[in-house]
Amino acid sequence: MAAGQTYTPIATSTLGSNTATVSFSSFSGYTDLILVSVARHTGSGMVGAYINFNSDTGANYSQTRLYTNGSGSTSDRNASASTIEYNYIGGSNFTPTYVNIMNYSNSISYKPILIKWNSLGNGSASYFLEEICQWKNSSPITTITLTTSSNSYTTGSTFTLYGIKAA
Amino acid sequence: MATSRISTSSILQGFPKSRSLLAGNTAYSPVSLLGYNSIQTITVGSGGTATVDFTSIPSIYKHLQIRAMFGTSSAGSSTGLKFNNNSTGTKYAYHYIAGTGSGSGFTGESINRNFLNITDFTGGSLTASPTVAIIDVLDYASATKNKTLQNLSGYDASGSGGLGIFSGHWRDTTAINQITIYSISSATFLENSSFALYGIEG
Repeated sequence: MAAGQTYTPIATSTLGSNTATVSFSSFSGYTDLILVSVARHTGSGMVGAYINFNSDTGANYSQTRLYTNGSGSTSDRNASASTIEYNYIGGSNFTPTYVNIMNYSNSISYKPILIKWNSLGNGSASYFLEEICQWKNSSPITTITLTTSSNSYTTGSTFTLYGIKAA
Repeated sequence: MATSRISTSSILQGFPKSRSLLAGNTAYSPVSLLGYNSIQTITVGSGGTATVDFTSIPSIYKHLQIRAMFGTSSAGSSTGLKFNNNSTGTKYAYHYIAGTGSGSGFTGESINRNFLNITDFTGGSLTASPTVAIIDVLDYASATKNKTLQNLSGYDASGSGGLGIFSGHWRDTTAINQITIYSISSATFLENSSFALYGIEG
C-alpha cells in the first residue's frame, strides 16, 4: 500500500540580486505544495510579503490569523483581500515562512492554505503567526507569485517549492 | 564443446559461507526509507462517511503525518482521533491555542478523555469552506513511550472561520498501527474529502 518517497523539491530560487517579484510555475503532478521562504527586503523596518495565485489580483482572498508578539495573542481576519499576506518581513533579518497549499490542483473547491511564519524584528516587531487562508477560486493553481508591499526581496533571499504526492 | 563438472564442495572451498540468502548484504526494501513516504490516501466516496480508518500502518517509519482536506455535513462539528481503536478508559489529553478572527486568541485543555480533538473549526462545505489539518504523530512505533501528537487545523470562509494549534497525547506505550479519524458531533465527512497518511524516516 505504500507508494514510496514523495516529498520532492520542485524549484529553488536564491536571489542573486534584489528582486521585486518571484514566481513559480510548472508544478503539476502533486497533491499538496509547500513553499519555504527565508526572505528579507531591501529597506528598513517591516513590510508585508504577499502571495497571489494564477495572477489573480481581485478581491478573491481571505485569511484568518492567530499571532503573538510575546504578549498575549490576537486573532484577526481579512475577508476580502486582493492578496494573502504570507509574512511580515524585515530589512535586517531573514524571516522564515512555511506555506502549505492544500490540494492545489483540484477543480471542485476553493483553495485552503495553512501558513506558519516568524517575523524577526526587534522587540515588539517580532511575531509568531499561524494563518488559515483561502483563494476563493476552484481552478487549479498553476502559478504562484510573491511580491512585497514596498521595496524588493533582497539578494540572498531563498524560495523553495516542494511537491507532495499522495498515494 | 568441452564441459566441466563443478561440485558443490569445490564452489564452497575457500569462499565465505553463509546460511542466509542475503549473504551479508543489506536487505532491499521496495519502499524508500529516505525522507517522506506516502503510505495511504483515503478519499471519501459517494454518500460520505462518519469514520476514516488507517489500518495496518507499518512500523518502519519514525514519525507519521496526516494531511487532510475535508468537508463536513455540519459546520462547526468537532473532529476526533483515536489510536489502535482505543476509546475506552481515559488515556487521552489535549490542549490548544486558537483564534476565530477577532479579539484575543484563546486556550484550553481537556484531560482524561477517550479521544483526541483534532479541530472544532470545521467549515461544512468542501467547495466553499474546506477544513484542513496537518497532523504529526511522533515516535508512533515506539513500544516504550506514551504517544504524542500535534496539529494545525482550521478553515476560512471569507468572513468566518477559525484555526487552532492542538497538541495531545495518548498515555499508552503500545506501538500505533491504526489511526481513526471521526466526527464526534454525529456529522459525516463529505464526498471527495481526502485524508493522506505519510511516513517520515528517522
